Amino acid sequence: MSDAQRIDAAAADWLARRDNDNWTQQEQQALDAWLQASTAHRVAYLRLDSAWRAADRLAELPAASAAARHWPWARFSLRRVAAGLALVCGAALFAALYWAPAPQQSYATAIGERRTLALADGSRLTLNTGTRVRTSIEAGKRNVWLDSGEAYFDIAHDAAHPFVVQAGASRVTVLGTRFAVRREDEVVKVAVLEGRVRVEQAGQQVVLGANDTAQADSRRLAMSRKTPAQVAQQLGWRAGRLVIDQLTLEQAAHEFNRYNRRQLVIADPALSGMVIGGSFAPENVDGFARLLQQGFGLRVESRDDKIIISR
Amino acid sequence: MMQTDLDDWFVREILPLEGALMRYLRRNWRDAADLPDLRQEVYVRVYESARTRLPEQPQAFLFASARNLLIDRTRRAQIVSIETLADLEQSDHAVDELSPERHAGGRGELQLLQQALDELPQRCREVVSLRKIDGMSQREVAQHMGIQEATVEKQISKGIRALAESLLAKGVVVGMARAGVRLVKKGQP
Repeated sequence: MSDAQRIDAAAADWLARRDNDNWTQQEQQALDAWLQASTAHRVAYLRLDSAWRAADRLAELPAASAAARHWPWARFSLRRVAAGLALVCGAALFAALYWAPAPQQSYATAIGERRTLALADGSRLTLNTGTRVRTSIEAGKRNVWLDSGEAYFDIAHDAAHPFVVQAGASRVTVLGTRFAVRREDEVVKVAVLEGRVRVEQAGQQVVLGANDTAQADSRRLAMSRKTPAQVAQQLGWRAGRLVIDQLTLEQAAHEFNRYNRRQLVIADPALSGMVIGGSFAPENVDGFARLLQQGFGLRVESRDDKIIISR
Repeated sequence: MMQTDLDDWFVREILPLEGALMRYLRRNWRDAADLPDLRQEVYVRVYESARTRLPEQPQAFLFASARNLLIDRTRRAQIVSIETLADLEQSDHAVDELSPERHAGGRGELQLLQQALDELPQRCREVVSLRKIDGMSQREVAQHMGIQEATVEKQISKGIRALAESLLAKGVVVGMARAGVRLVKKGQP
């Protein structure tokens, strides 16, 4: 843990302590002393305190939504008039989870959008641009279908309940790890940041470890080992970066086109093979086009929803 | 703690820029593991300089501090990347770092809050929801969930950090919420 993180944790502990009703005078004095001790303490505290107080606005949300989210305890909620209603909702939800097949949840991101979801088992998914997934988490089974696009998975460890990602004909099975899956029609790419996953495709299978990537299409399944830096680059989208490492202009244009409605078109086939690299904001397709114009002397022409690149 | 004017200024003017600050740091620093340290160091520098005099342009001041810190660190690093240094010294990123999320108010802010809440791990989310949405005290939350009060406090501590990370990245801070409260009170006879 870094210094900053230790101070952050201490500041959060103070706030959590103060958030309790039985906060004493002595504790207040101890806190004051801690805050006086260093500016780092003070700014960490101010920062967390402001966010925690901003969260007071959550009270505007209907209480029933809180109760339904916490169905096992909803029965005991006496706080609000809605409690009775919550009991019914809670019971219905309970029944649905236990007696009916687990409902599928669907999530989607628009072009250029990125979004993080938390699943009921504690796993997290980050969806990249233009992505559609369905999830089904029920007792004993954890399933996600990647219908299109790209997603990063941070899977809560649970050896007894494998987490399965189904992307077209490919199936990725994990026990607890961090990895990403990208699907374009029937081509599926998997990159593993940490842990191990098994990729299956039409009877073939490979086991990937950290920094391994695999590509599957309808005919074959291939794996290759990358450096940690390469895998990190591939996952640059999670931080809002599109990292292009020695791609052809055509491949780079394809990457940008995933994130933008305005599509890059390489009009001159002789240009398609030109190799380029760099780190970009994916939505800044105009900046990329300007770079091609100024840095490589190419012609750039905007027409309707297209940016046409030629010599 | 009595909030001093300086604390107030820091919360109102500097914290809402955290999203843009983090993007700036992330873009200009290779190792993501250093980011929490860098952020804290920038805040400390800004807060301490502001002690003598409040800067007229908080945003420009914040980014200048961030840039100076990165230059200091790069110079101190054992392997100096000439490229990085040149980039930092020549460019003034502050201009394109104007953060639109600063104006997320009203309904949008509530949505961001809800989203931040949804992203918490399950147990933590339960505790925070009962505390903030249902307005229970920590003791009531503990009774309600049949867990120790110490556990509730631990989950709250965890929740505070996660919420801050997520809310400040999107420019939601208490400054705006408080401004709202003030307006309402003014309107009353």
